[in-house]
Amino acid sequence: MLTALLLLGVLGGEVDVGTGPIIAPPASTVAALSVPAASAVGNDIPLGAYQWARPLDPADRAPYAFSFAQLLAPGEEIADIVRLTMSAAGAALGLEIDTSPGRIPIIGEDGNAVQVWFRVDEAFQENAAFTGAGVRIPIAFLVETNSSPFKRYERTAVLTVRQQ
Amino acid sequence: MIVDNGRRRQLVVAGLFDGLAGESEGLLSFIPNRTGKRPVDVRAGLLDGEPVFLELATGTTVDPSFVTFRYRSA
Repeated sequence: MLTALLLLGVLGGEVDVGTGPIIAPPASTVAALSVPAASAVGNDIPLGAYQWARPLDPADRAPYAFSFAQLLAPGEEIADIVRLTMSAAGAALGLEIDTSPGRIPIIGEDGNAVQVWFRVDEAFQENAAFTGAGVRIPIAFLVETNSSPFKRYERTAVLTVRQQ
Repeated sequence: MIVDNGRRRQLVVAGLFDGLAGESEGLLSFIPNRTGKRPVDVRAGLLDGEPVFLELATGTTVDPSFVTFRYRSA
C-alpha cells in the first residue's frame, strides 16, 4: 500500500517544480502582504497567517493559489518552491498536498504565485472533524526568488476543510 | 522542491488520546478522544509504542479542536 501511494505521488517527498497557468479562482487565492496584519486573523490563527476564502470539501480535489506578488521587487520572480509543509493537524486528518501527475505544485507563468492541489485521504473523508464548521489547517510555503542574492519567503496559509 | 505531507503515528496519551496523531516538523497534533486529563497536565506518552516526553506547544495549533505537542524520546 505504501509503495502504491509513493508511486501515485500522494505522499510527497522530493518533487520537480514546474511552471504553468494558475487556474485557481480568486476565492481560492491568498496574497501575501508586504506588511502582514498586526493582529491575528481569527480565533487562535497565528499572527500573519493568511486564509483562503473558499473552504475545501473533504471529497474535493481542487487548486489553491498563494500570490507573493507584493513581496517581489519589480522584475523579480519566484525561482523555486523550496518546501511545502503540511501541519501536523493536517497530517492527522489525512489532508495532503497532491503531487500526482497533473496536480504537482507549480509556479505561475508570471512568476509571482504558487499553485497547489489539495486532497483528503479517502479513509478520512467522513471524519467527524469535517462536520459543522470543519477544521482550519495551516500549510507553510517556502519560496526562493531569482534575485541576486536570492531572497526566501516563508508564509503560512490556512485552509478550512469542511463538509459542504 | 520538498513536499512534506507529514505522517500519522500511533500515539497513546493516558487520559487524553489513543489513536493516530499527525506528525510534522517535530509536532504531534490530534483531537482528544479520551477524558480525564487536561493537555496542560500531560508530560509523556507512547509514540509507536516507545515512551516520549511531551510538551504542550501553544500558539502552533490553528484550530481549537486540536491539541499539539512537541515531543522527544524518553
